[in-house]
Amino acid sequence: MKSKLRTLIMIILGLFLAALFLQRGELLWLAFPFLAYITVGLIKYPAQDTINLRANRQLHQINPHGRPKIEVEVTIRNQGGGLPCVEVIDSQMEDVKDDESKVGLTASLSKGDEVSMKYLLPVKRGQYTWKSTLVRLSDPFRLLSSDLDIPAPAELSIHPERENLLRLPLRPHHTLHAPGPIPASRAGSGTDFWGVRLYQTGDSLRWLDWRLNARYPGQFFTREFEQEEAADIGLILDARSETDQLVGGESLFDYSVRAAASLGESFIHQGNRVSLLVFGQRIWRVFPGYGKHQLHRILDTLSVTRASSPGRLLGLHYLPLEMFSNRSLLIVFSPLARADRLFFLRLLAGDYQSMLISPDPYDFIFPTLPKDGDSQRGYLLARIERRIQLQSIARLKVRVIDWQVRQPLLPLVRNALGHVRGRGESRAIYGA
Amino acid sequence: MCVAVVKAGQFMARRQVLFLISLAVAGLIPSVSFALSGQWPFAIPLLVFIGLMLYSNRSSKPLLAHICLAGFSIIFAIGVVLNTSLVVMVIAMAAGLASWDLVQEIQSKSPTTLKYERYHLQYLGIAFGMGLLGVGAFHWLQIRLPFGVMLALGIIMLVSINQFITYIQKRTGSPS
Repeated sequence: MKSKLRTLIMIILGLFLAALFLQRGELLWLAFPFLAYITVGLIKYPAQDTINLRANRQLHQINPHGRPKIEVEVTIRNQGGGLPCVEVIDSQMEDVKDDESKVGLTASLSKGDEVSMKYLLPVKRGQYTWKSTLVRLSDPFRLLSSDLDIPAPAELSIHPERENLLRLPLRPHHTLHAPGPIPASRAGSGTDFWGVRLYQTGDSLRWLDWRLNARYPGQFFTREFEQEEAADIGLILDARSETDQLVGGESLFDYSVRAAASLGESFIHQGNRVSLLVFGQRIWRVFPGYGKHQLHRILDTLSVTRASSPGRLLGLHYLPLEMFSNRSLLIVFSPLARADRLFFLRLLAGDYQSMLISPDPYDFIFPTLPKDGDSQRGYLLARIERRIQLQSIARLKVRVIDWQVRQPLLPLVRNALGHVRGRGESRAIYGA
Repeated sequence: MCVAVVKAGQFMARRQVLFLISLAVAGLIPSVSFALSGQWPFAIPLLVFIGLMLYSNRSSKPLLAHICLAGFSIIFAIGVVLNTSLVVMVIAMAAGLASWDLVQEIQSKSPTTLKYERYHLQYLGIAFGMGLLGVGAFHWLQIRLPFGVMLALGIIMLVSINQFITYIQKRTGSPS
């Protein structure tokens, strides 16, 4: 029984008892308005067999000022009898049940009526799922009510923010024998001039080098072009909570995710084959593939990943690398833990070409550090230790980018990728 | 955190006006009646409850509205016992009930549609009218019921309400 009805019955009972004890029958006249109120309310209470409600939910992602929001529209349609009071209470997310996250609307619905409720939900990267919406039916005075859970399923993935990295000058050691954007250092069907050779049966007459033919009568020469092929790129994202840092609600891991998404998008747009492996409490894999669908698979995976502890298998060197061919260029996003050098040793042993983009955790937490001498000395020592670790990894033929996350990634990546082709070349690139 | 796009509607202002009118009726008419019958000290707690009801409207404290309604009932019952006009007290009681209902609608967190507002006010008017008509009919028809009959009718009424609520609950599943 709701508090309204309880209050009214208590007052009626009080008046009744007062009339009884004081032997003043006219006191009961005061209860008359209450009785009329309750009677009208209860008569209009909807019967169960006349209730037939349908709900529909539509989601739209909008990005005003670069901040993603979901516009949720819940529509309730009454296909049964008239309902004097329908309260729609929508929980913003399936796993959030507190009152703060609920929005509502109260309406009266005749047969065939529908009512819509719209609200904007500020969101971050992630997957948002709704299963149902709560509808509370009551009389016009809300004396009694019953709750119905009406199915209104919907799901939306909010992809991580991405930088527009345009075309990166990628020069991997190996390419796939599939058309792509990367000059493969051999003759083929590209656009850049590669060389001239003697004409062979079957060569297109369009590619005859007429100047050379004129200089050497009786011989024909064909122009050759540099073959352009796709690269096989593997993205490895470190999602271990041990390497993550949180400062003022911002996570260092989110920067890694953003970088991985930006590079993944750029590589796929260039026509390369891209795969993803995320290492946290569990391992998420997106097997190698091309095109828009592959990009969606990668972004969907990056949407749901959270920094989490992998438990006993703490080191990166436990990662299964079977999904990457050893002709892949592996790009690792990790702030690095102490023992992670072993992983890069393993990559070297497996003849992988690799690059490390390491978001700098010390620079990230620096604004929150106390300004006393001990903290500053500790900070400097930690930085020196990190610098030594990065240099030791760079000596394993790994291109290293020490990324201070508040600086743009593009110039660093452009610089690093542009030089990857030279075998044995190794150096660390520092953000600042 | 989030913004409901559906607007509360222009009826909100009308509801506020009706709330103030009903509260004025619930407060001023019996106060004058108390003053005229020489029982003006009872007007003071009544005006205090009016003030509290206004405060509960501003501060969205539903419990305060319940307390005010109970307070109105006690003061009007005292008025009836002290032989102040019964009709005035019943009208004031109905107006107090209406103001209590309206204050809770105004305090409701979720926005409401115009149609619901209209329905609610209609039914409130019907309940208000039924209550006054019933009392008025008995009063003008000069039906004087002995206390025993009145008592029996009261018991029957309470049992009927209980039966009615049980019936509604059975008919509609399990209301909360």
